[in-house]
Amino acid sequence: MTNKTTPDKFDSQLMRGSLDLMVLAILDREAQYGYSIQQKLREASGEKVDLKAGTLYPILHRLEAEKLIRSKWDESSARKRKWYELTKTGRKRLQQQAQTWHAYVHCIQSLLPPKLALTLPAP
Amino acid sequence: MPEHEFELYLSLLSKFLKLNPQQREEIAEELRGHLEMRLEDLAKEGHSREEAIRLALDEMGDAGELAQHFSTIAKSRRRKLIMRCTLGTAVAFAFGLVLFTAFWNEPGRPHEVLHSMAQEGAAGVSETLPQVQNERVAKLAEKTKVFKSEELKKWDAILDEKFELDLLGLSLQEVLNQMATLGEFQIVIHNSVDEMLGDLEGYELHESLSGLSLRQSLRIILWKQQLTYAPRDGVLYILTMEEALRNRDFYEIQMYDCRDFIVASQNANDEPLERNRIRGEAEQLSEVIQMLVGSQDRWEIAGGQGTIQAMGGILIVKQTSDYHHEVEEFLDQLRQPYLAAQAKLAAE
Repeated sequence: MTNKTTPDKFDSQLMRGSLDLMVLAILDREAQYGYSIQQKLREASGEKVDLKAGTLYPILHRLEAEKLIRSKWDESSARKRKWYELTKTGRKRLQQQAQTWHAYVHCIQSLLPPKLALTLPAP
Repeated sequence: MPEHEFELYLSLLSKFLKLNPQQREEIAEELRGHLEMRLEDLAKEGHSREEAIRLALDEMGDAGELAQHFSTIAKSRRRKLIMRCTLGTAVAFAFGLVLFTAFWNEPGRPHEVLHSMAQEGAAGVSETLPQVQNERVAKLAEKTKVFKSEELKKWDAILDEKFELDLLGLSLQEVLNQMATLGEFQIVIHNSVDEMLGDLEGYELHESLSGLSLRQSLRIILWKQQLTYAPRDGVLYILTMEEALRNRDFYEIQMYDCRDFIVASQNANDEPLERNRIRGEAEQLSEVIQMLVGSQDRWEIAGGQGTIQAMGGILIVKQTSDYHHEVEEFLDQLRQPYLAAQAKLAAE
């Protein structure tokens, strides 16, 4: 591993609880296909979030089963792509999860000793 | 450009997926697209082709594990759908029954016509009433008409025979031998049973079964060990349920004529139903069968080999013999409320 060139990735254990939120947030902007979701997450996180394809696709299929997102095949381009977009329920879920997330961050912040809370590294 | 390594991975994944062919193909198509795009990007980043293929596949992870994820998601989705449909069917069925009875009891409706005809009959047109009644009674047969091979008819006769069986303290092997002697047929234990359970002498039974048909007794003693039976080539095979699920050789085709049932259940006036409506009802009936008869995974919608095609009110069913029997029983039961209504009408 060349740690000098690539920044430290977030621990998968740490990300586990917020993967749905990340995917829903990406889809809130516009419809995406699996690969582009992965790319967007990578870019947005400065390469700290590296969601493996083997993790991403089951998440997408589960969110679809829960009717939070819906999919459509696009056969107009040379490569057939399955596009995903948020449903109304998905948008609502995103709002709820975002609120929970803020409360969670706030809670952790207030738990930390002031000394550490102040020296949070810049993102 | 399709990469050989990707296709290998995807076909392995497909094999593990417990889904129907269309769902499997869709998942493969989606992942194929991903792998190809990833390969292009990795190549642009300067990786060699071999290296890029390896990395792309690594990110996809273990094919078996991934297939398991997809299958679990589809299964929970199916379970929800089944719960909804079962509830929906039950409500629709109850509603239909209420309507049906309400309809027939209402004065001035067809049975009233029959009454007036009866009175007319007394006045001279005596031929009309029995004819009309007989025709109506003949419309819904007592049992579903089933078309099956001569071989299976023979087996039905054997398996429906009733015997007193004292199984206390006997091994499964001994019981099967006893059944074969009583029913005068041959039993063959399929390899799959040996592989799963070993020698059947080691399985002792504690039941005594009386007044049951051979089929019912077989079901009881085999079910506990996850085994089932299937007649083939003139002998009765004992095999594991797993084997019955995947081995095409044990599947048979039978046809079930449901036209009279569809007309009786859909239409109290006995008017000829439109062809489209019969087709729609037959398809719905197929769905209900696949949801309620036996274990889901024996049907193609859930990754099994069993299928149902509806052709103008006749259901063409491909299933193993034990499931055919359950389909037949189920269809016969569905007739009961309508038969009762019909008998009541005939008695009036």
